[in-house]
Amino acid sequence: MLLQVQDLSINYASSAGRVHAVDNLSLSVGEGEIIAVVGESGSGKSSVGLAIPGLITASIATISGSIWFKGEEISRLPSHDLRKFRGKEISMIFQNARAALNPVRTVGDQLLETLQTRDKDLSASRARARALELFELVGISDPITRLGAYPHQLSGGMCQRVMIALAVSLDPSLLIADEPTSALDVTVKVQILQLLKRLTAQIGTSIIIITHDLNVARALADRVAVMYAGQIVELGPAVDVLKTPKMPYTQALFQSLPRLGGERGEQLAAIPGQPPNLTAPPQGCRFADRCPHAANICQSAPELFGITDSRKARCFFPHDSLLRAQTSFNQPEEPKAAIS
Amino acid sequence: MTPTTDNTLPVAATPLLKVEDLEMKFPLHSALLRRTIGWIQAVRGVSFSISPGESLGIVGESGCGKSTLAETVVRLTTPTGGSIVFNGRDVTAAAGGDLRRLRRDVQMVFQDPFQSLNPRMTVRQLIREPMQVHRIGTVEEQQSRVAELCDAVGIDRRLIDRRPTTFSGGQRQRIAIARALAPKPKLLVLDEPVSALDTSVQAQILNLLNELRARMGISYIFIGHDLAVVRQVCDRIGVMYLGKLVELGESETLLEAPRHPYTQTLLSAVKALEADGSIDLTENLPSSGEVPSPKNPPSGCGFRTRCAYATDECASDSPELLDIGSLQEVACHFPLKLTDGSSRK
Amino acid sequence: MLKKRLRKIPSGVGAGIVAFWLFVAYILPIFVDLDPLATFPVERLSPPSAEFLLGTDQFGRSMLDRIAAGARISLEVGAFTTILAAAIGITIGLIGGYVKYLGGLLMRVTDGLMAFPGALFAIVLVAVFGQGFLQIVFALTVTFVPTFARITYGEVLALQGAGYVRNAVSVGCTTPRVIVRHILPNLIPSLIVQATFVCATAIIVEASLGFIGAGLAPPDPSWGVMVSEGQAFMRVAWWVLVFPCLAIASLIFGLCLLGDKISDRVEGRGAKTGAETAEGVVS
Repeated sequence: MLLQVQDLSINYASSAGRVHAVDNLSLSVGEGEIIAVVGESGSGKSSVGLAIPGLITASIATISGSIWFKGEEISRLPSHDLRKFRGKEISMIFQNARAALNPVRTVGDQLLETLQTRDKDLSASRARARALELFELVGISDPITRLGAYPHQLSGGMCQRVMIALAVSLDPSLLIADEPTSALDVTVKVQILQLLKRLTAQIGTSIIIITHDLNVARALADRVAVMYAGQIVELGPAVDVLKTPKMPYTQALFQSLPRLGGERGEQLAAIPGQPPNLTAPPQGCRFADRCPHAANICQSAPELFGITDSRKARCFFPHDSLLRAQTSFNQPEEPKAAIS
Repeated sequence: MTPTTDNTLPVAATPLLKVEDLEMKFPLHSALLRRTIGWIQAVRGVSFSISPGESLGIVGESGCGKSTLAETVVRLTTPTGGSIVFNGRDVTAAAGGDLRRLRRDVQMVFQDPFQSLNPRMTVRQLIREPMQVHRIGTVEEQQSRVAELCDAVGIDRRLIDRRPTTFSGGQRQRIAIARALAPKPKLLVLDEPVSALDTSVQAQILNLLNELRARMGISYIFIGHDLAVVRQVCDRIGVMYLGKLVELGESETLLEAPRHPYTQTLLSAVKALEADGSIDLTENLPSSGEVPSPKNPPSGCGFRTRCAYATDECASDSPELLDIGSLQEVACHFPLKLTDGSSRK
Repeated sequence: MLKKRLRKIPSGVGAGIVAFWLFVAYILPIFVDLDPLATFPVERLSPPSAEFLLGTDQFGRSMLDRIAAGARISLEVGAFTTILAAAIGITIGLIGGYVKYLGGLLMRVTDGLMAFPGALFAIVLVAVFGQGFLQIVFALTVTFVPTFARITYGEVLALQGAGYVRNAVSVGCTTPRVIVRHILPNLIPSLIVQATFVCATAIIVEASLGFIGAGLAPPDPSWGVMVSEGQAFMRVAWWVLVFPCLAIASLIFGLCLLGDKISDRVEGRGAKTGAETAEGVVS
């Protein structure tokens, strides 16, 4: 295992009380594996991504649990030692690539600097050759001109490519991508996903992709972890989980997604209600309030039960047949008054 | 329940809104002397019309001018060319009382519900304001309509005196919709109304929009970037690229058999992502590359730089949006044939 | 570092200090007979005692009475200046932000005013019109009008692009309604923050003017005048100097603290609750 996260809990202090953003999360990532962490806003998925490279400091949150990377417990390392890991072993890319780049320096400068920080002996010409190679790797056409460009001169998709080049420039073992394609248009999105997939094949980097987009997860990932209200509620091979989701939340999320393949004008299966308030999460199953299949037992907290060797779901009733019971999702919860 | 084309009038009937050759460009200033050094041509000659009760979707990628088009139609800006005729009245340059009358009939819902609601007003004030502004009804009538609207969009009446900051994104968008519906508009312009929302909430809002239209018979212009979302709400879809409508047609026809190469590209990207199971992402799209800058659009057809079928003619002549039958219009010198148009793989 | 320490001070302290001085200036005189000008020649420069809690000055006037009266002068200079400057500045800012062709001109004029040192202007006014409360308030008002005008102008321009303002326009609100209902209410928090700092600065400038003899004239008990007079007796009667100094320092400290806390509150106001805040903090 490349990365192993055990019992990770993250609590933020806020004026409204402690926010239990992530609750006892365990996750492992193998060499060369792409794993998607899927969830809606507030599910805690971004916190997980930030906690792994130690980017959540004790001043804003209490973190417990352990994070092992290549057999070393990095969650215990002092921040000075942890810095070695960032960039070199674990690097990140974000949703808004342009904002993550320095606006007053050319992208080439920024890439060269990164390369030369790691290898002080790297000559300018060798660094430049490597930079060009990286730009070609991430599919930037006309790399020589583009090295001299400022971030604002590049399109959003191009900036994301530069970000990816920066992120892989130090041959990291793990790339954490937080919503890398959410700000991009669909045609560009497909291109970036193609690039990420090709990179894992070419340089063997593992990727944790954090996304709200089920389609992105399905297109890219080997495995998915679906998060809801700070917990992993379903975990398994991407193809299986997204084809036959077991946990009612995953199923509902899927059915609420408008698809070109579906019938037009049919009621989308919206999930009624809102996710729970994480300052006081429910004792039992966190989805029970919105779940059409909730029973008395759901007042006690389900574990992440193993269903098959590779699949797990946090549900007392993880069954395929639920998927077909679609009608129960189609109840809109609001009272509808007559109005002209 | 389901909004279908059955109850919509044929296109030939008197349109509610008729936009012709609409043009909107913004000056580009030099940093120092504020001299105009060029223009951003956000909208470059767009024509369409909407019948009463009809729902038109405008789809395109960022920077294609779809939001500018929306703002121009509600007259948040004044177009630099073309005309807008609403309900038989030319409102292209309407001002004062005429403009206010237009704003009663045409309401807008914005993309980001965290930005579009004044944080210092309560839900009650927010929904009531349009009625106050347009002097609709007595205070009692306004109050009871606020309550009715809350019910209609699914906001708990008991929360009516709270401020929007205490609501989630989906609920805020419901409030924004109630506010827009308050003066009983004939046309609702929705600028990416679900793009800022989570998937499950997005579905709630889309269902709500369909239901409201079926019940109230108002028209929508729905601006979006996601074909699957837009299709869910719209009878007809217009596809925009670099400030122009490149294809316009009945939703199902357009999505089944796109005739413009750009529509085809968009569709295949969506389908590549939607396909069941792990798909082969190494497969190439019909066209690659990115959208050229609207500061300096290519000559002729805007899409020719990315189009696999482009010829010299595409560089010299700009194709017009032409009727190609079956209520579909396309702006292309070489529209895709119906056989290969469906881009099914 | 200092900023971090200041953060730790409970939010009531600033408000408490300001409230204390308001009490001393306006409530105390109702219950206790205070006369800042009454002299007790026998008791000159007597140290703090049961009779004169803060001692007496070189003319045998009660320091307590004088400081209380001085508090009134300081607070009034601060308040009048702030209110006048805010009223004029906000109006200019709103006009500038909404009337395009006037905007540039008005802002250039306020820029010009901003370049003008307030204390110097006050000295000139005093030289021409003589010493007095009104001259000082007038000079300070002129000095601080640009501060408010600039902030208002900037915020108005920013808010015109804000989602809810565009929404208000699209709903059909008239321009005055947009300004009154949508722009001003959202301006007020940042203006209040600015007001506390303007108030504090005005009090300092008034005290400084008093100190150099260009402010209120003795025997008016301005704190600045008291510090200036007290200097001479620093060696023999520390209380004559120390108490006015403490008074100025504490009031300014209180005001700044209050402003800081309000601005913290204002910045935090837009934040969302619960998990969203948490996600927002880290991303």
